[in-house]
Amino acid sequence: MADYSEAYSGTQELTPPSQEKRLLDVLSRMRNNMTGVYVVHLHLSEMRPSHRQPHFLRMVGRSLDSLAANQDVQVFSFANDDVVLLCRNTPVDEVDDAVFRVRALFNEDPLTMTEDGSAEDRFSTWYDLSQPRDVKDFSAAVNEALVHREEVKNQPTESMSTGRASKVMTGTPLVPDLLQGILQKLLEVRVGDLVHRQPAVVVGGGKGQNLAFREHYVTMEELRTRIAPDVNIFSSHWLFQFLSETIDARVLEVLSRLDYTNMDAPLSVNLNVSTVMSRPFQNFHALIGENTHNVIVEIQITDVFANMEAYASAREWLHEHGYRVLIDGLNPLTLYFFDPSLLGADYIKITWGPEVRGGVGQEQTRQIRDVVSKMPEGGVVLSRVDSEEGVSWGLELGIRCYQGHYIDKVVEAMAQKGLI
Amino acid sequence: MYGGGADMAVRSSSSTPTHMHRRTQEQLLLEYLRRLENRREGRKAVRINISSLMPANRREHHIRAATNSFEALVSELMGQLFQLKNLDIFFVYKSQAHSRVEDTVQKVKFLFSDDPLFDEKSRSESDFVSWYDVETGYDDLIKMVREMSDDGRQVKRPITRSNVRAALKSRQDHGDPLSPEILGRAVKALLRTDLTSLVRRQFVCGVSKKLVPEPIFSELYISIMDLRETMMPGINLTSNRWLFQYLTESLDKRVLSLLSKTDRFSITGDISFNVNVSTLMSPEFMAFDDSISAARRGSMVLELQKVDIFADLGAFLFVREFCQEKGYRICLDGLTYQNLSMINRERLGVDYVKVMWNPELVDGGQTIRKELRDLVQEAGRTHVIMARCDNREAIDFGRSVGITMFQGHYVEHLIAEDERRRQLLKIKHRIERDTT
Repeated sequence: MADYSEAYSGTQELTPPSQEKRLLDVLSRMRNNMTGVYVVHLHLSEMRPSHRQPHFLRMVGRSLDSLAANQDVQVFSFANDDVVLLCRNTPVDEVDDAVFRVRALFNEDPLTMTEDGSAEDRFSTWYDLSQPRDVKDFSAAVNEALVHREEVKNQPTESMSTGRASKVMTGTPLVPDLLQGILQKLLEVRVGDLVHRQPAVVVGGGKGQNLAFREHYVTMEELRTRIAPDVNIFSSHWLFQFLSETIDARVLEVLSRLDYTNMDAPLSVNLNVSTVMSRPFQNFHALIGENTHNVIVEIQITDVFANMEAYASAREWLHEHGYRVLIDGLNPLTLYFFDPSLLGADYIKITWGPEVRGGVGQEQTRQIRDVVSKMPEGGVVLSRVDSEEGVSWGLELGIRCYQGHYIDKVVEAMAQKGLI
Repeated sequence: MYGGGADMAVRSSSSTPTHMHRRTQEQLLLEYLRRLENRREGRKAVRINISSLMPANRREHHIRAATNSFEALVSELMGQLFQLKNLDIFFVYKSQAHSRVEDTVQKVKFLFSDDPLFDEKSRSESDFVSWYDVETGYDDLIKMVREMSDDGRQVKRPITRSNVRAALKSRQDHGDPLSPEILGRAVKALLRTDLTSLVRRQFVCGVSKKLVPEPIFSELYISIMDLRETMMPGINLTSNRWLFQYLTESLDKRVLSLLSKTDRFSITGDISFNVNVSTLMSPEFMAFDDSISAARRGSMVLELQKVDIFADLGAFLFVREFCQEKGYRICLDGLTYQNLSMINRERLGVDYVKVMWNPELVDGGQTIRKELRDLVQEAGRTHVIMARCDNREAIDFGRSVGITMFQGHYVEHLIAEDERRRQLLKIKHRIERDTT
């Protein structure tokens, strides 16, 4: 994926006069004959970063191709990802259809949630260029985009957010030929200092706040710097999954050195289903002896879907031996499409993120509430909570357990007061 | 997993416990032979080693033709036919039919006569056909078949301290596991390999009460087993889930280029094929999309794997919208009954969901039957396909819970039957016409 995106942005940068400048040129040449000319400005720059990746935008271009081929329409793509359609005497319905198609592609983005064509529509703006006022407004918008282009030139690219596709990182895309070397490096480097801890806390219920567990995790960016600074190890979801099996083994080594007899709260660790059945985990199991109740195994939903039967037998084994199981990698969006409460896990973890901040639909809210009610008390964890807003959103839905930067601060404050 | 393709691979891979309790043809053959224990007199058997032929000659229609030639004998209760996992044909029969069986075997041999196996005349017969006398060689036969069925049966073992034993066995049975280095080589080799002869086709059909199949579309897939033999013999391409998944991305692109070269590869009717979500966002897919007419898009079904769509739901929803808008249909492949109960087809917006047949469903009794009937109802009858139907039981069960579309070896068999019936009818008409 990333190799194409690089090629894509590469060609974009090579194209000499910028699309913004070209558009301004065209506009000035047309100045004396603006009859029947109008413009639709698609504000793709305001969408979530995960939707603004090159392969998504390339497909937007394709959706508009047929319009441009059949009608007198020119398409301009801005550096800030906005797209402009310049139309002359084109039936509005045709353009409307094309805009609707693009809009539909981003159905999940909060930007498209405003009503199409309404005054609050943040997705698109229409300008009638036969009206001098609209010409002025539109030119201002283009100039603004041009300023943005200059700024972007001197800025590093956006860093990662959630999800596979959005893990945009720099470096050579990971290919099989590089994999063996990275794997070897992974086996050799020190990882102990890369294992960080983050608490999950149960809020409310009269008892104030309690520590539910501490997640032990490796910061991938740090690990990458150590094992493959020039490679984007996230460029292939599958190859990264493959690497993660070895990461598991290294993390388990580190965790084997902890004392499990006197823990104030259990620890949780992210593992592959295949790891549970592997020798490193069985070594770990032998080491911790009776203290399995102090360990929660976090399993990614992708891994569950990769092999449901393997997951089921791993879960059975873990439960039989006193471990608890957490399903990770969910977000409010995923809950709308399937019900993770049927997976027989003790916990499920939902990511609090930008897609929630804009508010979720009623149907979606009902779905989340439904899943929360089916899980055991405190069995739903809201993670990546970076503000109080997240907690209040979760409490509203019946979620009791929280994790994230905001919670870190709360826990720290509590610790200082000797409350935890 | 790759539809029918990996379907075969999955069946042969002991690392994938998907079909833990499915009874294989090997097991059925073993049971059958055991039942013959006290009445083995006058019984013989023959094994036709389709597996020793070149992969290109093992096409579905060749094999169908081969099994068809035994039909008459089967319907006259002269014998029982088993189609083994490696495509070999095993026929156990009454010795009074021996000369007819010999004729049939000759006919089958003739079907494959251009295979290099028959170049060296001296060894051809014994390499391609093995004859057994059930009466005198009963114990040896049982032993041989038991070994075959052990290989196919997957015993659910508790997780041991490590799966070294399983890994060793898998290596012995299926070759060396796919490593990153080999994967790199495989991706490159894939670019050079001509896949034309490895393309298989299996129909998704409506099946009526009288078991008359009505094709809806056909799935085109690459047989992973044959791909491995052609490209990297001795390597178990499916041994690592994630590395295999990576390989399928390259495979997708090769299939796309194959499909856009329609002059080399003529396909009739609606078709489906496997793709990754990432493939649908690639320049290769865009080029493919450009190369086909709008009408053709409407006749294509894109099959996506559940692991792939849930790996990045956002990306899936995006490409789904993009592809459906262009007229393609989307099928969510590889679901188990449990998966079906978890997902919401309508919200995912897929046109079809493919549920894998599993004999355990019948064992589940009325409870499962009712649950499944409700799930089918909820997903919509016209949207659910039952795949991997190996026998009539699958169709009967599927129909009993409201499923109307089926795919699998048994469906292929029904199609062959249907064709044969039509042929006979044609001949009959001709005779009638000639005599009047």
